[in-house]
Amino acid sequence: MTLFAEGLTVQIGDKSLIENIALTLTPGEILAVVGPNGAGKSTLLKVLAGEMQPSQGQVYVGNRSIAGWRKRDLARIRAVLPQASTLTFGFLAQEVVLMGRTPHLSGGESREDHAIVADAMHMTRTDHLIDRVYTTLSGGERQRVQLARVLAQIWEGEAPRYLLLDEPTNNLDLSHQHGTLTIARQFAERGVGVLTVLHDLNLAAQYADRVLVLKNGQVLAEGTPLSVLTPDIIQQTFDLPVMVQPHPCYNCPLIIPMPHFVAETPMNQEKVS
Amino acid sequence: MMSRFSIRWMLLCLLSLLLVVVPAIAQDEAPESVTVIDAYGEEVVIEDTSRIITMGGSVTEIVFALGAGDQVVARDSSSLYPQAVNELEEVGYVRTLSAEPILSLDPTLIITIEDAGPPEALEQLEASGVTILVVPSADSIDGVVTKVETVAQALGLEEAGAEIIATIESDYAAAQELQTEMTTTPRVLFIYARGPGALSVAGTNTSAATMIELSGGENAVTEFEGFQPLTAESVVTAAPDVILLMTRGLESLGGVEGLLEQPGIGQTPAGENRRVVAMDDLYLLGFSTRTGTAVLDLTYLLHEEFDAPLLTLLRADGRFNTLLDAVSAAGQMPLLSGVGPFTIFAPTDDAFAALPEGMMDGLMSSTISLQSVLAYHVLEGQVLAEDVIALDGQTVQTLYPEGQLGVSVTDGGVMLNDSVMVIETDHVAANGVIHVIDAVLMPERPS
Amino acid sequence: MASTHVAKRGEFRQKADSPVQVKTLRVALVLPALLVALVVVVLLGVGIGAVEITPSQAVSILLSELGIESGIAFEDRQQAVLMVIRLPRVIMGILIGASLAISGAAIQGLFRNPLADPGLIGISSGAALAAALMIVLGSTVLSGIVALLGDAALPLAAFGGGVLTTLVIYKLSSVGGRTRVATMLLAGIAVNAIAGAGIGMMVFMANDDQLRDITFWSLGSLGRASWDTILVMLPFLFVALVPLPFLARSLNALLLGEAEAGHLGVDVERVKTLVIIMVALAVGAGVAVTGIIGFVGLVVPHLMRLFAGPDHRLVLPGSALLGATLLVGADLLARTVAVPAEIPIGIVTALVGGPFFLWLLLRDRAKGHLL
Repeated sequence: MTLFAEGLTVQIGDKSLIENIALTLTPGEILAVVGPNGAGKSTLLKVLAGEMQPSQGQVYVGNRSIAGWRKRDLARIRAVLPQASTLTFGFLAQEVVLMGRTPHLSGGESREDHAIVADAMHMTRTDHLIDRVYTTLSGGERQRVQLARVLAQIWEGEAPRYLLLDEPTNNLDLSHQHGTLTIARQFAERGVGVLTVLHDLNLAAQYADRVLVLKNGQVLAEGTPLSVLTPDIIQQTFDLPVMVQPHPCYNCPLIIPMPHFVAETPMNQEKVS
Repeated sequence: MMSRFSIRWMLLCLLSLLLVVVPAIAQDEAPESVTVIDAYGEEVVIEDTSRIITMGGSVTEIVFALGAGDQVVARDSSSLYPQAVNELEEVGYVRTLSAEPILSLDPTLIITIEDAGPPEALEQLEASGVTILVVPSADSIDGVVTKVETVAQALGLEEAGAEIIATIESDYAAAQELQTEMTTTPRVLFIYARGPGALSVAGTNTSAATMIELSGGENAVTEFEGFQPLTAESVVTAAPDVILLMTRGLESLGGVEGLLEQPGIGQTPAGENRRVVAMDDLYLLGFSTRTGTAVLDLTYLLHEEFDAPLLTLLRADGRFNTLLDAVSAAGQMPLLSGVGPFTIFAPTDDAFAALPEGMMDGLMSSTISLQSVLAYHVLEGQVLAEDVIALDGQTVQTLYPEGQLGVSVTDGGVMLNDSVMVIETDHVAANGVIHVIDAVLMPERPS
Repeated sequence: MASTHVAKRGEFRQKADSPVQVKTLRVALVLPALLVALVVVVLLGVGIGAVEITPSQAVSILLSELGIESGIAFEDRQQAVLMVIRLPRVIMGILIGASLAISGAAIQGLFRNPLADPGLIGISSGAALAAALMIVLGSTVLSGIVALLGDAALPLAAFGGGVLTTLVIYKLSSVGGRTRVATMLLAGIAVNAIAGAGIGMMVFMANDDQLRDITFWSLGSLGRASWDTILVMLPFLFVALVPLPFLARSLNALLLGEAEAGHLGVDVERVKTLVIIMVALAVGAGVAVTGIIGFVGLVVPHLMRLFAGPDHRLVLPGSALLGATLLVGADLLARTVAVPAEIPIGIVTALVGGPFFLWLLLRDRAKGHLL
């Protein structure tokens, strides 16, 4: 059961935020969505998450469009991690993660639900935050707690599950950036279809199976990192010259930005080869 | 030895005596129940009038006037007349009553105006066995008469009631007779004031309009019913000859001067001629025992061609109820109604209240003492303020043969007997003048 | 790719037990404790008042209502006071206190703001405006309505006014089937201002009696409590007290954000609509009979969160119990402190609630969050 969309268009007034976008998300793969600011990445994610109605086109999970799904049923197999959280009430971190189990609960929470919470918090390295009040956490800590919640939501299940991540590495330090995407990889290996919006092209190159490049609301390119993250495409998308080399350690491209600076500083001088 | 015949005869007498006497005694002990028609046309059976709670200033006034004041255990917050009621327990505002506190006073009868509420409280009181008599509202002399009759009947005091009604009717008749001599029908504007920012005027279908018409005047406002906020334009259009207010209302504006500063007032005939009449609230609009007299007094005050007599000025003001009661108890009303002229130094109700405890009761119970004390406040002739001031350092003879008043002019004002301050002067009447004093004058040797 | 140990299910079962258990203990204690407090206050409320009734007499009267005769004598008057005056009053206090508090908690969840109260959606001001109109114009322009409805005119008007105003605000903030909470807030402010102006107009036009009526109405009182009024109000109050707690989990999710709640499978629009309808009906009915009683809807849920955390599954029922307790207690004060007059209950709740709320804010200032 794949998640796919075709002809997605969102129009506000006479401006198109996204136009005629088609994509397929297969369980077990990581699809990275990249593009400059204003390219429509967040809009696309919102449409896939069901937050926004497309002016044209539909999103399908399985054979049904998401409008035909019962909200609760959909929530059991599709979890969304937003960019920022606005929770201002003093829940404990573990209570926040527990809320991720909402679509699965009918009465109270079971021991199993609590166990899933513990596991999810361990996976996101937030164990030490279990009893902390959420509103006292730092931005990065909050983000990881939210990730744990979202993971807990689709921790297990029969049907293929989907994880949509909106710029999940924004507030995180280097180690946690990679930690998050590693988790995404692990979930993909469990059979979850992961779509993540990323700013950092190298993270996309390193972790994604496929990359979707957006510009001005339209798909510019789609394919494996190797085929899509080329200097030409990147220059076209971001208006920045780059050099692409094979990563010294891993089987993926390494993107090296080569910006022109007006003033020459020692660091930006061309290396004497 | 008595014959059998005489024993039987004695027994027969005894028996018949018992048959007559016992029911008579029993009847005296059993409460007489009276059936009265209330404001809604329904019959109310009243059995026990020993503990009464009165609601509504007019109702309280009637009950006390009938002489049943001793049976009243509590009253509502709007009952302020006569003076004696202020010592009674107060059960709050008549439209937001609370049943339980009222029940704790153990009343047997509640006599109330129509506005009592909330309905749930009244239901609770009735469910607890208290009889409630709702007295019909009045907006005419006939209505007042019905009110008084209803209450009098309920209390079994029809005679006293008849006396009150007789006074109402005779005073009203006197007013009507006076009106046959009137040469104008003044346009009167009634202003309801709660301070400079909140003034409204009375249109048609108001108690104020009724009183104005009964007193030979014309309501200056006929375009609307009820009360509406005052605007400068409407006031000028109304062009009243006289402005009528409640005493409290005029005070809240800062007296006549304050009133004249309100929008539009100064541009009316009333404003230009400073024709302002103030009357005590309950007296003017209460529609109760004093309404007949109120109409008479208002007739005097509204018409420029009449000079109001002393008693009218005293009654209308509202601060001299104790004085008036005393004058009436002393039988001196006819004197002060006469041609005179007299100069009265009038103590206010507060002045009388400040007397040592028991003194007022003592005075009221001894007519001669009362007459002496009252006479001590009156001078023959019309002695205006300037004349009083001219008497600085001298004594003046009062109507009390053995009493002279010492006059002294100090920085604070004119004092009598070095202890009593004159606070207002020159309220000129047809048959004299009134100066207001802040304490009761006591002759040195009251007999 | 970086290699990490692949986490398997159940491998990391660690501290799942202790903090959860502590929380469970607190949960287990809070509601029963509140219930006990409520029972105590109800007993006090039924037993204390202007007319003296000893506890044994009170029990005796209650037993006799059930047909059981005990040896203790009581007067008819005492029986009337207990059964017709005090008992309905205490019951009304429970119902109104509970529904005001639980509605406050629900609105705070809906607006995701612990400083919200039902007044934000216009119920109070709409009811107050309708009441003022009825009081001032009831003998002139609106006399037809008064003639038709009699004593029920004022409460019906208040109820209608409150519900109507909420409807207007709701419609103003709903576009294409979606209700924007931020718009609702602004619409509420505007409509409240308009209602305030209308009330001011009525105050301006009112005579002495009418002014007092308006004032007393807006200060609140349980004086209209009777078995009849309780019966009429019961369906409306049940609407808030019974179904609302079932929305607790959805309201919890809503606190994460509307989008996030949607992702968790909550029908956000439906929850918003349900909460608004239930609160409007319950608070509207309450305000219709008692006038405006402030602070209960604002302070009580806050108190609950202070002691039991923000989980609605505790806050909703807890607020109902606490609100009932506080209002019965406040009414007891209101009708005994200044006998034979009765202090409007809105004054008591404000006098107690106001300073207490200030204290709460000062305390929380240090903590840096508003619970």
